[in-house]
Amino acid sequence: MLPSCRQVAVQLSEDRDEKITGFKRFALKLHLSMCRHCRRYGKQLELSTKTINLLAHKSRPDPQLKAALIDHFTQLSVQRKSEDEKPQ
Amino acid sequence: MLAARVNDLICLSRFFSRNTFEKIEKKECGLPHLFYYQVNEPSSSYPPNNGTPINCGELHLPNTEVYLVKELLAGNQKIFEKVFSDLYPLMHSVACSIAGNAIADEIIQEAWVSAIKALPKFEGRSSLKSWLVRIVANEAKTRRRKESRSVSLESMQESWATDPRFDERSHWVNPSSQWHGDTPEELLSAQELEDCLKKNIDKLPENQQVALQMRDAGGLSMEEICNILDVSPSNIRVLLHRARDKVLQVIDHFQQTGEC
Repeated sequence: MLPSCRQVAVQLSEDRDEKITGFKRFALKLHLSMCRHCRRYGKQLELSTKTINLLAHKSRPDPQLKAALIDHFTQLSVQRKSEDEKPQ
Repeated sequence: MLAARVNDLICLSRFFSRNTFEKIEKKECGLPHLFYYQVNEPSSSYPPNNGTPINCGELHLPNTEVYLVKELLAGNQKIFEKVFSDLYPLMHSVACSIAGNAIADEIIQEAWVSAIKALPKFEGRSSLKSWLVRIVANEAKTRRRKESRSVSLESMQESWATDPRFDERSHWVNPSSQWHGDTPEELLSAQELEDCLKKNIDKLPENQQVALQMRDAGGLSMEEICNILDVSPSNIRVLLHRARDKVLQVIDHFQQTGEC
């Protein structure tokens, strides 16, 4: 029993997170070999996912936030070191 | 007991087979049960080794993670800057999805302050990235609760039954069009599409947004996402499919009409 196009759309997404195996994979591949709309959907799903990843990596931190956190990190590191160096 | 000793021996032999480190010591240094090693390369050569993960007992951390934690504990500012900058996009996305853009940076700041303080207690039971994202997610949920907005990461109420793209037999009646562009860079060369995607991702239900940001934007594993959000893998898969499908439809609409 072959999956419908709607089921294939779901399975193509699931396959990105956990590989579909066994007969379900065979049926998916068979459907894809016969359905150009689903093949295109699969390619576009991959491209969309990569686009989201690229989009996310375009965001940059506010310089003030970065500076404040570096300052906090340095202060805490110095404090930690001086505590470590204290004689027991 | 015997199995644990054999595992220790395997780990040690794998360490000695690496020629990037001259001196290897096994001791606890704020990282319980982790091998501590002396790095002979300058700190600027980041990361020192991107080899296979070392499995010592329950732990499964890649060399780079052990190195990063060690350098952070030693107060290496350059490594802190690097980790902060690398993880900022993911942390920002997660904070935005849960608590909104207005307070996302405040949440990140609070999360980092907590993380820096708690770093000596980091046990390596998850990756450093996953540990930090969990702190951000928890901080965002707390802030959201304080503002009396309900957190509904488990909510799956949205109906997906009536989709005009499919006929009554669930086959395509209105499939996606051929796109002009084969790479993400080509697609995002249109600033309008970039703005349109951001706007539509912001409109996604919160649970879908968080799942999408963690998995596709941040590259976290399914296991890590399930642990952070405390949601079952099957629910995450449904959320991811709906979010990805929506993003695909937004791009497709833009490709067809040139409008958002």
